[in-house]
Amino acid sequence: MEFFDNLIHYFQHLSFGQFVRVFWFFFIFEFSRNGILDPLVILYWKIKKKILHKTIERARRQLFLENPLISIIVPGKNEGKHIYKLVTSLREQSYKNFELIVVDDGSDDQTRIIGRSLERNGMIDLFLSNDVRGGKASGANLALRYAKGKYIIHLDADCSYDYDAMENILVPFFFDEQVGAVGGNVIVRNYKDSLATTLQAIEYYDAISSGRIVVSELGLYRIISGAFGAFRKDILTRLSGWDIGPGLDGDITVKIRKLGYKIKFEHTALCQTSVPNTFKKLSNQRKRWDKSLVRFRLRKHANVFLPLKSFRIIDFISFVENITYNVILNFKWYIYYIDVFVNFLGEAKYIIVLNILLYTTSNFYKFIIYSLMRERTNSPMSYYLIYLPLMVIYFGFFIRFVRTIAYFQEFFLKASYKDPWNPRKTSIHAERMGM
Amino acid sequence: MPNEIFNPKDSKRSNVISTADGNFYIIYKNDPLLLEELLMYDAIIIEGGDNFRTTEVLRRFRSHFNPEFYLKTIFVWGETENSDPFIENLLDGTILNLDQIEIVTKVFKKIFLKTTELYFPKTLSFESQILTNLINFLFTRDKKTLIPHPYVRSAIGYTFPAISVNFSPEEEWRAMEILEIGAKEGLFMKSFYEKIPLCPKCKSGFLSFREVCPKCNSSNLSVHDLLHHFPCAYVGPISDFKSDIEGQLVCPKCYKHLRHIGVDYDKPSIISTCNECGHHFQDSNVKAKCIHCSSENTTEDLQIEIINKYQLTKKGELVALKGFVSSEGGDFNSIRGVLDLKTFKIIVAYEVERLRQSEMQSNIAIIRILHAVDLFAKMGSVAQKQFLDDLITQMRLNLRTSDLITFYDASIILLSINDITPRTAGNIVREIADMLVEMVRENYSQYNIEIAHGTRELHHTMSAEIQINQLLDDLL
Repeated sequence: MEFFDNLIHYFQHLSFGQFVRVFWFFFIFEFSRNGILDPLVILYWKIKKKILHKTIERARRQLFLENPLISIIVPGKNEGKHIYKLVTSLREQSYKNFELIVVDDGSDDQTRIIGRSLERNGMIDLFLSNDVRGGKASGANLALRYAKGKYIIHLDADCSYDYDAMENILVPFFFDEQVGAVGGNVIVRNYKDSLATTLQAIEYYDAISSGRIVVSELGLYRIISGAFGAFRKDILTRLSGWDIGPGLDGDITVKIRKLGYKIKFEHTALCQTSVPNTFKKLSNQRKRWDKSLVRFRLRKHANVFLPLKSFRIIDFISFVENITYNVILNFKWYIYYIDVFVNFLGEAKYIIVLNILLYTTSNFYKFIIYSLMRERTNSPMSYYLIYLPLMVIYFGFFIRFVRTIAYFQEFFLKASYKDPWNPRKTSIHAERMGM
Repeated sequence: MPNEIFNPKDSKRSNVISTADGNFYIIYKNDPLLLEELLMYDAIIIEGGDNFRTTEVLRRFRSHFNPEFYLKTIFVWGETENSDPFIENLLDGTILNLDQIEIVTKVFKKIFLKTTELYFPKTLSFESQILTNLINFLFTRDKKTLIPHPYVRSAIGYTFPAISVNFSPEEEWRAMEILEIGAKEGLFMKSFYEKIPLCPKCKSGFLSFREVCPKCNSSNLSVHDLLHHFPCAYVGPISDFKSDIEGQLVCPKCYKHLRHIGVDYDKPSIISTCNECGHHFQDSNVKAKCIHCSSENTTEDLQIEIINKYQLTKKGELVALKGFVSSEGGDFNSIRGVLDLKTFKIIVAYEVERLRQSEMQSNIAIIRILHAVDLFAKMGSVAQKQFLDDLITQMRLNLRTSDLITFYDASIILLSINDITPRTAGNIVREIADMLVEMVRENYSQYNIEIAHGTRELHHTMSAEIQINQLLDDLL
């Protein structure tokens, strides 16, 4: 009790200047962005949507009028158990003119038998099976090689889609000719499985759904999830498809951006995915994502920062924003705590607790604001409220810690090239070429 | 040296060789084959050198329903290739020149002796008749096994010469069907020899298996290797990697030369492209085109038949000595409205007795279905039974209940028509014959039949048996 009395006393006697000095990290990076900028952009997006409602509907009508053939491609290994569900859910789609191409990337389960059977029954238009695994990129490229559609929609076999998801993800192409690719909105299906999945569901709500609305509106959107993304076929063909992963989703998005095309996020194109259900699996997944950020943003596409012929300010800002919030701030956080312990050692315990309270308040604020603006969800808002206080631990410590390890591993050991997610026979070449 | 006693064709060459042990007839290559004229000869010698002709002559003899033909000793004189299973299985031997006639004599004697032990039952059933002929042939040749021979002229690709000789190549499956009846009756013991797919429509075994496009069924396909270039993850058919320099592969994405399979590229699978509709696929459909009827079938639709080899059982050997009547739908008694031959003869004998004591006039008549062998071979046992049933039903409509009907064999029907004049009886029988032809035309339009008939007044001065035989002789 004495601790809380002292805490309140400490808080009450802080001047505004002292408050900003002690909690500068929160004010500069959290409050300014998540408390002010993001809600403002989302509000702007909401208003714009209302104003442009008729134009969006016109684009939708244009889509059905033109009725282009769409190629839905699903590369994957050992996904046989998911294929039937996926195929049946796709048959319910409101947009019907599509061909479905499934690529089995050297599966060692029943995938080939299931795929062939569905192909014979006409439920899959083309089932391509490789005897040996080549990696996700090669699977997607094989599907692309035989795709006939004007647009390519890349899906993951273990995801499910709203009945109008395909239709909605295509509309932005008819709204703006400069749109080269559109990312779908991925939410968590197994949010009730464990604490790890619940916390990820909140994260997807925040960073992935709402965060992407913001970056998309600001023209900074830079990663289309492999679980649900639509691309113009001519652009993918021009780029000769995907390069070796991991992180090929972000890589292809950047390559399209570099060609000068816009990348849009379509939050009504809803996809539900299953996320890792343990913190260990989650840690492995995030390490892979974070390593690819270093590999692609800071290594392969480092020329975005250089004033070359293809330099575009919007790409530059996008990369800076991405690296600032993911890499620099990650390390800056450690600097902040060194600052606290060096300069405010006596008050450090109060500062840490107050930081937690500030971030928790911010999380509630964001969650409530975003939930009010959200149009489609698969779970009640109230379910998450009791878990929200844990997000400070999840984001502030767990994710930050995982990121730190990943960045070190990639910076100094180039660990992504050794990731078994990709076959060694291909990674060895990527490493040699610095891709 | 044999003595020449008769030369019907020319003065220079003789067709007949006569020895103390028998008369043998030589069929030269260009001789017309007048089978009925050769009944009297003990053995036939075919001039060799023309397999086709030899097979044809063998077929004519061995498919005849008269034992005196189908059991005839037949030799080939001169060079012959035994590659044809019919020659190999239906011939009794080969002589290189006519000085070896004693070989023929020896074989003929042996076969003749065996033939004298045979019993020839009268049977309605076509299947029973064929089985009897087959077993008689095997018995007289000391053979016990029937092995299927691969044979290009048989519709199913296999033949059992000793029985298949009764059928056209298209109807080879009938031979198998009858052998199965034989096995079921315990005359043969069967064992697996081969499993073959047949066309479900025409039962031909000549099928062309082709990989076809799953969309348009065209067999005009191109198959390409798929190549995966490791450094850039490009995957495509090998044609995408072809460069101007022959033999060199260049990646269309990163323009690098492909150097070492397994190191910088591999071939993860193949892909087929239909040159007709442009469809790409990896899993082509396999379809079997029937060379005979041109129908296309999936492999699942093909009729899978097991080809067995057959071994004559003890029961089968006894059939040769005691005769065989099939237990399966092949016998006269199972057809309503007919008597068995034995009862018929007894009743006709009573009628002869009755005529002796009265002034009445009674008649016996015969109706013969011509080319019945061909007709029944096409029909199969079930259809044959139905056909004969219908025939008798029609006949009964024109006869009184007191008139009797019996089957002499599968193609000959005997009637006993009593208490009317021979003229009236003749008219009735003629009407019946016309009506039967009409019935077949209406109900069995796929078959053509011809009917011969005759009527004879019964006399009390002769036995019933003799009068029936005379009636048969008159018509046959």
